[in-house]
Parts: sequence; C-alpha cells; structure tokens
Amino acid sequence: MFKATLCALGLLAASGAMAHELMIMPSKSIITKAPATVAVDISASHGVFRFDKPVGVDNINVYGADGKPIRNIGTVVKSASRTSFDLPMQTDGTYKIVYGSTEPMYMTSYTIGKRDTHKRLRGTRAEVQDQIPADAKNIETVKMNRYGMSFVTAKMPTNAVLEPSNEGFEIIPVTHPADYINGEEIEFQAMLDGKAVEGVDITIKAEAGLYNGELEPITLKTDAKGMASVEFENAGRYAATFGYQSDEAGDNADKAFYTVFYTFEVVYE
Amino acid sequence: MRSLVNKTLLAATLGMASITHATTVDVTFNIPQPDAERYAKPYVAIWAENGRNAEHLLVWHLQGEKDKWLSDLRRWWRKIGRYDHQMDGLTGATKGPGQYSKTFEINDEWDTFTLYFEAARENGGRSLMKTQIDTTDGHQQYRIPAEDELGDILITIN
Repeated sequence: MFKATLCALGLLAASGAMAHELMIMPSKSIITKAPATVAVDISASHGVFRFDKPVGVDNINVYGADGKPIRNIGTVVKSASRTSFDLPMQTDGTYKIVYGSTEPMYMTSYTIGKRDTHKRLRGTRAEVQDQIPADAKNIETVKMNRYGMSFVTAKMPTNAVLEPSNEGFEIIPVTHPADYINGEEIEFQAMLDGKAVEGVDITIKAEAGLYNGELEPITLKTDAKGMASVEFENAGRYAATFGYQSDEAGDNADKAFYTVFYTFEVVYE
Repeated sequence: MRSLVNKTLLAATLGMASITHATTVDVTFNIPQPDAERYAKPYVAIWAENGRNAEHLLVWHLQGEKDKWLSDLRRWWRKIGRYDHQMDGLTGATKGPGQYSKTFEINDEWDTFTLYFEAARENGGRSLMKTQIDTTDGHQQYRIPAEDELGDILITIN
C-alpha cells in the first residue's frame, strides 16, 4: 500500500501540472438572480486559492439548472497562471462547472537496471509495449481519472446537476452546495459506477489558512455507505480533494487512481 | 377578522375552553446611525420560523431591477428569499436611521416560533437577531439587545 502510494506520487509528479491541485474558483457561489455573469478562474496550484498554472481550454464543461450542458460559455482565456471565463447564467438554479477529461489517462511504469531505476511511459501497456526493454521489471499500468468541480446557484437551489450519472468516480454533494453554513453538518457521498465507495481519502483546506497560519488540512474518509460529513467552524472558501485507489481498473490497467477536486463556499449563519 | 374565525374554529375542534392564542405581534426597532464614510441604508428582513417552516413578515431592500444584494440577508435568503414566496405588501424600500414600529399577524397554528431579524448594510456589518416566542406562557414582552446594525428590539405579543 505504502509502495503503491509512493509510486502514485511519482506518477503524478511525472506529469507536470497534473501534480498540482486543481481549483475551480467562481467569484461567487450564491447569486441573487439570473441573468447574471459570474467570473470563473481555473488554476492548478500547490497552494490553495493561489493561481499558479493555467489549464487547457478544451476540457471545461458547464451544466445548467436543467442538468444539460451549456454549449456556449463565451470566450475562455488561457493566461500565464490561470484559465478564465465569464459564466453566463440565463436562468435561476444550480449550475455545475467541471474541468477534466472524461477519458482516463494511462501511465505505465517499470524498474530497470541494478538500481531498479523507475521509468514511466504515458499509455497503456499495450500502447507502450515497444518501448519497454525486455529486462524491465515490475511493469505496472495505472489508470488515472481526475476532474475538478464547483457549483454556483442563482436564486432557488435546484438538484438536476447533483444527480449521479452512475459512471466513473463521482462525488455527490448530499448537502446542497447552496446550503453550506458554518456550524452545520455538510455531507458528501463518493460513488464508483453508481456504487457507494468506502475509504475514499478526503483532505480539505481552508482559504483562511493562508492568513491565520492553520494550513493543516482536515482529513476524513468515507464510510461503508460512501458518506462523509464535516462541519466548519468558520465561513469561507474551501478546497477538498477526494482520492481513491482501486485494484479494479478494467482490462487496460492494474490499478486505478481517482481524484476529484471540489472547491466550495461556506456562508455564515 | 379571518384569523379570529380561524382561532375560534381551532379552539372548537380541539374542544378547548381556554382563551384563544395571541397571534398579533408588535415590533419596535431602531436602525442606528453608524459613523460610516459611505453610508448605505441597510437591508432589513423580519420573519418567523417554526421548525422547517418560515413565514415572511417584512423585507426592506433596494427596489427595481438593479437589486442584486438580497442574498446578503443570508439566513432570510436561505429560508425565504430564494423561494418564490408571495411577498406582495410585505416588501418596501430601504429606510434610513430612525425608530420603526410594525404589527404582524403570525400564523395562529403556531404556539411557539422564533422571530428573526436580519440587517445587512453595504460596506458595513450584518446582524442576525432572534428570540423564541411562546404564545401560551403568558409572557407578553420580549427584548433583544442591540447589535451593530439594529438597535434594541421590543416585541409585544397581543
């Protein structure tokens, strides 16, 4: 397990910006009414709520109050430290912003030589077979799937965008994102292909930590029903990372790593 | 008149011999004059809650299309504002510093409820004040001590 984790870290580090935490940062998560425009920044960063690296413009998906994708989100700008757009909210309700490819990424690694040097290749084992030397050992392919999400609500909260698709790794906000209040319980549920997942590692960082020195994240795990709950003493912005490793990774990989980055606002009572 | 009929009916169906419950609430409160460089009149909301139910009583906010700040009355927004409640006659323009008196009729099926007051001022503070009211215990007056955005609140149950 420890080895696997180290290996995973190595893999993530190998993929550049992939090692960073992904943050989708809407300028506001609760809007009085539509029509409204909400500035959204997406950045991959080591520090919470600090812009560092931009993301590709192609993998941004926005779902409207009816749960359907919104095709035209206007101009998306990729600048040096972040990727930005203005979310057009034409109707009231809850919108979901997702960044990430639905396609998993494959990494194949092996060790070689007297010192067991770690080598990594991008692709499934079949795809990179030609590049693996005959004397390679510990060949392993990992399937990685990661995405970021955030919600914005104009006027009345709606549930269409919270419904699970029952495909892949999903984090369902059981407590509605427009109802995150300090001092009240906030619940999430983790699902893999529609089934509750136990043991998902959750780390939550508060933006306030940048200013009060409390950067130690809150950590928790999902229970047998895939549920986890947390209560925040203070209102503010938070960045949660949900990570899960599975040995069931389909035909093309030995292991699967799933990660969801979820940024949200807790409002004061 | 309608509420009187309701109360009588309720008393009759329950076979109660006691006097009918008080449901009229007089509220006196004060909007303070803060020493603010850029003063804006506060948004003010008053409502009653009983469990998960809420009854809207008053909201003073900026009138017209430009009003984007109603959701800054945080609790009121979550309990009432964001849902399409019928609020005709229960809204008004924002008011400046001064003493105000209002009389409300509260759902007379509620023996106990919590009366909430929320005030939020642009570039200023926000105060959320509340008191639980029991209409059956004979207690007639309640006072909520002042906070930054609302002065002392005096509540009289009739």
